Amino acid sequence: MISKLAQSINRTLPAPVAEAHCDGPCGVYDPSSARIAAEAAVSMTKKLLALENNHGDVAYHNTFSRFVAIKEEQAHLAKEELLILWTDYFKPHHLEAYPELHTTFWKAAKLCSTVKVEVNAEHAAELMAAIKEIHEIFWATKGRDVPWYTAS
Amino acid sequence: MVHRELSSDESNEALPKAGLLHFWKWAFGRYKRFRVAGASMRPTLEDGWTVLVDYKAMSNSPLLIGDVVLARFEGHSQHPCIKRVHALSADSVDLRGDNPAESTDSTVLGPVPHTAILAKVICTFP
Repeated sequence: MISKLAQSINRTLPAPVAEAHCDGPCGVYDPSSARIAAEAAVSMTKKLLALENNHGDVAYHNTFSRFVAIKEEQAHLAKEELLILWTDYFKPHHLEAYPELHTTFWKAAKLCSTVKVEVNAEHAAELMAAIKEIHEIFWATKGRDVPWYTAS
Repeated sequence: MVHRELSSDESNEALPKAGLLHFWKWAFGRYKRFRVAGASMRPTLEDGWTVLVDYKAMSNSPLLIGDVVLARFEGHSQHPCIKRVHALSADSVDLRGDNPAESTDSTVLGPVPHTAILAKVICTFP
């Protein structure tokens, strides 16, 4: 009887919500998202530097434009992924263990912008090094030994 | 300092179904109803279930490891959340979902102060 009465009450009088969710990514964070985007931007930087100038050729302009567009898009994506990791995953107790954390992320985010704006292999390599450093800190906070690797 | 953590035999401890006394307490305003939204407390609580909570429970009995509670993670959501007490210290409470694969809890958001625990979840309704 209690059960039927409760069901009837639940149908007619909606109760307030108590969340038992996960966030969109279900608490799953991984710096590899930023690494993959950064690698794409680095790859486009290298391809742009290697591209043979042929200003009279339409195909050249098409390829050049595509490389630039992808580089900018992927550098921006890498920055977004880093900012999510920085602001959503890392907590004050991580900062106690890694006091340089904010500076590391800030420099990495700035490098994303630099790689987006420039065509500079040196700065692209610096971005990868910064993401590698974040990879090492991130997995150390999880107590896991995840080796750094790149897809390219 | 952490006093104790949830042991494996205490995890996922089921909640009772509402009985006459629970119903009575709800009817007279002692217990409040809440609808569970999400799967982070499965299998203890399924998405869409309704529970009864007691806002005065902590004044009658201390918070215990294994209690299912209504709590707030500051700045996380406008709604309170339902989680289980995983660990307790003098200053903070570590809250976890019974379904870790789909739970955003203290593992991500950090422990909460005792003042963030709003009520104990007493039973399912029905």
